Amino acid sequence: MKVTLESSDGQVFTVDKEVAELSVIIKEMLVIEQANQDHPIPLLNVGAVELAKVIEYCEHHRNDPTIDDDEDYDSRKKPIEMDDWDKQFTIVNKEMMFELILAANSMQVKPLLHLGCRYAADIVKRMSPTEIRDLFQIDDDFTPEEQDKIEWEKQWTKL
Amino acid sequence: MRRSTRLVEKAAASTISLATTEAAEAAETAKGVSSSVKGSSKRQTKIGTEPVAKVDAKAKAKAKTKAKAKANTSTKTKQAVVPARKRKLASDDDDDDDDGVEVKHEPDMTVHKRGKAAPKERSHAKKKQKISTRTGEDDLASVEGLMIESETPLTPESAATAATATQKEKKTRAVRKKKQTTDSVLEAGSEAGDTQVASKPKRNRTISTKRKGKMTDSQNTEDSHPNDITRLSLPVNRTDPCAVLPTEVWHQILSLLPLSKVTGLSLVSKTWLDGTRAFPAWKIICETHKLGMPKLKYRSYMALVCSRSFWICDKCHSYTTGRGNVSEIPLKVANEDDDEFTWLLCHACRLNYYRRYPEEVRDDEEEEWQRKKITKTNAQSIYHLSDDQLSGLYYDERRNPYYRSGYPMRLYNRHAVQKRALRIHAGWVGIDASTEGIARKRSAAFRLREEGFKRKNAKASSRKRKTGQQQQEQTTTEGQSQDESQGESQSQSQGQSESQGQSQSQSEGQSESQGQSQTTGENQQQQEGLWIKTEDQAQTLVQAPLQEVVVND
Repeated sequence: MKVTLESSDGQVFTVDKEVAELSVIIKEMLVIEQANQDHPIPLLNVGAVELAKVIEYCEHHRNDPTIDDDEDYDSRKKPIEMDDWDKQFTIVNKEMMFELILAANSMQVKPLLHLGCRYAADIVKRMSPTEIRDLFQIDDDFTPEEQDKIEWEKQWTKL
Repeated sequence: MRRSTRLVEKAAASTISLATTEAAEAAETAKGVSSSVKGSSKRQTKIGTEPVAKVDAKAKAKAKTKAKAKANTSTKTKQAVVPARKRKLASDDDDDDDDGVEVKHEPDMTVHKRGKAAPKERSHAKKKQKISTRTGEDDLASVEGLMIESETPLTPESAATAATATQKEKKTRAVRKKKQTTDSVLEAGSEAGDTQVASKPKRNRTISTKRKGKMTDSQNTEDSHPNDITRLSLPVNRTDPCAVLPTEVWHQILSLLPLSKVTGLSLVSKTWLDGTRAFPAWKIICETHKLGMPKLKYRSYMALVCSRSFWICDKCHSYTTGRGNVSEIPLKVANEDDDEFTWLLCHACRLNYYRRYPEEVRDDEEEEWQRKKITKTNAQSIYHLSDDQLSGLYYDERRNPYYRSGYPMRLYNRHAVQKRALRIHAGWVGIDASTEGIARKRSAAFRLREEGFKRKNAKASSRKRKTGQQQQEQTTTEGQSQDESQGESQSQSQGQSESQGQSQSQSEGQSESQGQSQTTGENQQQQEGLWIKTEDQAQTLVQAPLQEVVVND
């Protein structure tokens, strides 16, 4: 069974129902509007490029076991293993990845959202504040006094 | 003519019966018309007669030239009104054919008296102009209507209509005043609102709005907050994840990082600082482990958690001080799940971790027998194991090498002991931590930090105290100098004999002021024990005695 998805640009994508149901939002919409499955499902917050990427991810992970509880996705308890395909999938520029995260968040594709968050966390993790500022082109808007104050606050793992 | 005057008188009477001041004014104006008509009739004889159409044309031309200052709308209405009135006056007058003369004076006088009425007329015209400029196009029609009614020839009906017209005009004026007041209030409100943003450029804007004419409230409010648009249209850095991503997603990203790293991210920018401080984990940690509430010392939950950072696990956010077992405190582990990124893991988390990634036993000893066997004493000292913890392990008993009559020596399998130690202390990290006494060091560091905070506060308070004392000294010296100067001036004005007494009083005054300064000093000393929170408080403490001194002088 096929489902039609419409991006915010007006582009229409036809995908299998299994693939589309990886998104919690689409799954719920399909349950509510069983009669109107012929009409395209509008995704107002997702552009065509991002939607294509999301569909690509969902098609690859269509056979993965579905996870309903949020607790299972707590990485602190059960970290998700990234396979090689996922690692290849995440090789995109930063802006695109953030757009993908936003798309996954709006469509509630939890594995993709978690993958995106993991990607963002990995970027940030090994960098000093100065390096992060350089990477994301952020201005340092702290005064020296404020910086000292925060430094004093975060005397973390000195030993 | 007579008929017209009679009618006018009747009209005046009828207007008086209406008992309104407006009607009385209308009657006066009607009289003025009659007088003007009389005057005009005299001149008409000299000038002669002219056809009505020509008169109209002339009147139009003169009206245009004379009423330059008037607004275009008002002139149009007058031009429209004049011929009608002329015709009426002509019909009233039996002998009069010379309406043109009357028309000559029409634009100037219309229905008012000459001389006295002219300034009123001018002022009225000015008012009209003002009205026409103030009000918008929507109000123009009503204003024109009023003008037409006021300029119609005076009959009893017209007088009544004039009275009603004046009433209407009053009403409209009242409405206009109300509108103006509301506008001014709105403008004032908008100004008051803008003072927070920018005070100076706002005034010009309000003046300009007045000049422009009537403005709707929405327009006013829109104009009054120009910075709102700029605020909204501030460019968002699309590459900044903290700015782009929603809060819940940002918190999800932070949850994938160790807490120590999250605190490190707060140094990137103010946005990131806010984002990290809003991370809900800080509050949850404080509430679950009863670490207290953010107050003066630690002003956020994040700061509060950071103060106890040594005992909080990065993964499960548990709080362990390691009083029972030293190795229970969170210790650094290179997490293989996270590309060997360092996490501060508690005992339970470390055990879970090493179950998945078991550590190898060590063969550090040089001699072979030592690699295989270990005595009980060494096992206890090196691996920090108690008798109970060693129970259940296989050991060989040998005769005591030092004392034959002593207890036999127990030799444990070293690897078995190591494995037991690794399980009990949750990895080599735990064993090393217990040997190095990291828990003690951390508690010492925590105490040092607390003392440092106290010292910091003490320095700040001492600085404030010093500044307060200096200011107080200054005030006392000023008070003394004032006493002296006043005393001198008084002594100059009075005689020498009195000056001695004055000097005595002066000295008394000085002694009083000194006494007061002493009392204020005592107050200050009393206040020294208190915590001076702000500079304002310090200033008030200093200023209070100064006021007292001035009053007594």
